[in-house]
Amino acid sequence: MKYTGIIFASWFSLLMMASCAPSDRNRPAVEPDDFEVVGYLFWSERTPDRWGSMNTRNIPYEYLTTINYAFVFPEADRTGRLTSVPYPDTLHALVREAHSHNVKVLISIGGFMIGDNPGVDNRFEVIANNQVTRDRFVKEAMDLVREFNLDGVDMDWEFPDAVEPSLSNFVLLMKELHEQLHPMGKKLTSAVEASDFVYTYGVDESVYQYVDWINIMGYDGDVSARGYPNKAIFHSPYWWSEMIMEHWIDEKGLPREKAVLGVPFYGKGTNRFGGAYRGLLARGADPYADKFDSVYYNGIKTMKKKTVLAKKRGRGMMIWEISGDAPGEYSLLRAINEAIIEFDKN
Amino acid sequence: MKNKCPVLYLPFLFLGLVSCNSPVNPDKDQANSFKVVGYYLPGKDISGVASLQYEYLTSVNYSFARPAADGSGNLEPLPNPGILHALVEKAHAHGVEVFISVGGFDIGDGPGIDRRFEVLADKEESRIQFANSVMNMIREFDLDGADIDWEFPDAVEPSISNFTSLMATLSETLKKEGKKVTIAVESHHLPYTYGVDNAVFDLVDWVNIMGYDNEEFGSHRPHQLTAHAPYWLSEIAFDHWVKKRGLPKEKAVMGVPFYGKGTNRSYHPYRMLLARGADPYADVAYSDTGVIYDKVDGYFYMGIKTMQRTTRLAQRRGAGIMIWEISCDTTGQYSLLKAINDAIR
Repeated sequence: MKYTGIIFASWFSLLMMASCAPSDRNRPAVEPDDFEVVGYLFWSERTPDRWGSMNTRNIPYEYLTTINYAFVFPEADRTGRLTSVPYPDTLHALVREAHSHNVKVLISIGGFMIGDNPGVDNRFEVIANNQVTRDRFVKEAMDLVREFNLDGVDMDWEFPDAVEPSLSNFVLLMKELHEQLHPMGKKLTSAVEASDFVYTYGVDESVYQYVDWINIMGYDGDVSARGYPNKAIFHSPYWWSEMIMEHWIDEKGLPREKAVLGVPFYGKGTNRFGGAYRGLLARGADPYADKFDSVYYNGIKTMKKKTVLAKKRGRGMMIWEISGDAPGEYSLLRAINEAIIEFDKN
Repeated sequence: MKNKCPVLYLPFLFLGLVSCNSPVNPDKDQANSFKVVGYYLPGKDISGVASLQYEYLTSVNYSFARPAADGSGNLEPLPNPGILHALVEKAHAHGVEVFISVGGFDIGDGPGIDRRFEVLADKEESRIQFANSVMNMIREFDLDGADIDWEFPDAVEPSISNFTSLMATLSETLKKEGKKVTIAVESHHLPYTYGVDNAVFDLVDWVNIMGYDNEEFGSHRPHQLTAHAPYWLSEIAFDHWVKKRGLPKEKAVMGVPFYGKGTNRSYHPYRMLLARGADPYADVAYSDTGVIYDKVDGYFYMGIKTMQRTTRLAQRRGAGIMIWEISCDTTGQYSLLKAINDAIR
């Protein structure tokens, strides 16, 4: 979850029929109705403005199955304590609204900026390297889940290194979270890098057994796709999503029912934030195109194609982040929804 | 070549390796024996030869002989032939094969400049001369074979075909004398691997896949530490050579480093890193070992845990482990050769 946009999310009504409770974890692994639409929600002072009169009541829950509330961080003291939840009243309200729509709410821990410099993950590295701090971290996460009546935890450590001891420490941390969350019927997910081997291989295959699914960050290809040298990658093109699914499922052995493909609701110029999708449309971008001026994004056409890809090859779609969506007929969440319905009809 | 010496099996008995089915089989002619191939870079004198841990090795590749600068196919004389004589004596006493490795990354004209190979491989006359020179060296030192470490034949003609022809000539010459031929290749990066045509696979006994120095070829990130030999590199390399290129599993030997690389790509033997406080079970050491992860400066290496994991991968997907290079190892409980041997068992 690299770039902070702004947000919200919810549950897709067709999917609700099969599942009576958001935290029902005993559903069979690959029921078609299990298709996840996971929206990250990064709430800030500006979010209500961006969404006009919207508040947690106005989030399009009908298009979502899970909302990941972003973020809490590990504290700088590296004891395993977590920072306090941003806008706790909002989170309480969100959980109430989401649950009334059968949408799950997970707390996302981490992100690209966790209080030091961008991408500096020393807090995670140190906490994961010691049993005492791991225990504290897990306890704090569980306290949060209980306090806010959440449906689980999304781990967004960017990124465990692909070498020891980091490699094994991440497995241990996920195992210990799994041992607390799953007996309570809660979810555990993780956000991972799309294709750069240096980072994707920091997630050992033994982690898969501990998670309900993995959110693959299939965007920011301009900075993160160096696993494929000699190729220019335009933020998040469709063909790159195909390569990403090949990498995680075929090369890294991720079970397809745990592969959730991430898409952006924002644009990128090369190595720079290009603005939210809604903002790009306001400036005159074509909702069916993928490029405006020098900024690349995902329009409706590509978004629907990616949804079909995720239906065929994976478990769901993930979005960073949902407040970047446009209202009405050009809504990308709606496009995803339409593509799912269309796919299920055929 | 086997049973040359009555003490052949002693080290293995000492280790309790009594089963004939043990992966490290002292009978080198067993097709399914797991190879542990150690490159050895000689020091200034023969003292280093005495301390090598032969009991953990199946082959030693003496590094390096160089092709002569004129491209005639002759080899330069070895700078210190006494070391190789001493090594052969020691190794054979332990039932360990010795190869002469010809080439390397720097063959006298600057790092990575392989003009000597390109020239000698381009004409039949010099290819034959090269094969004869190598065979003469094998005879002179009573060696068991040759390892060709041309870094790297270009992935275009005539280089591709010239390398195949060179290996065909060499293989024919050496096989007649009952000697072995191996090559060293890049792990998986394009275009280097495609300078080696699939036709070469039939001409060699095995291929040493250099599963290290990854940052030199691909995903190096400026200003950040990048592991030069992570576990995944071995997986990718097996994918490339065995799955994609069709190298027979019985000929795929995975290379691992006994050295670390610093942020500035400086080279540090494993035992030196341990002496400075590196964790033998980790793969990374930071300059300030007091507070880990606060320093950007540091060293990437392959510790015991990843070494054993890579060894088990090589057992599943290949035929052995290759090491660059064995004088970097430590002895005792943190020895990487011992770690490999423990993993095999």
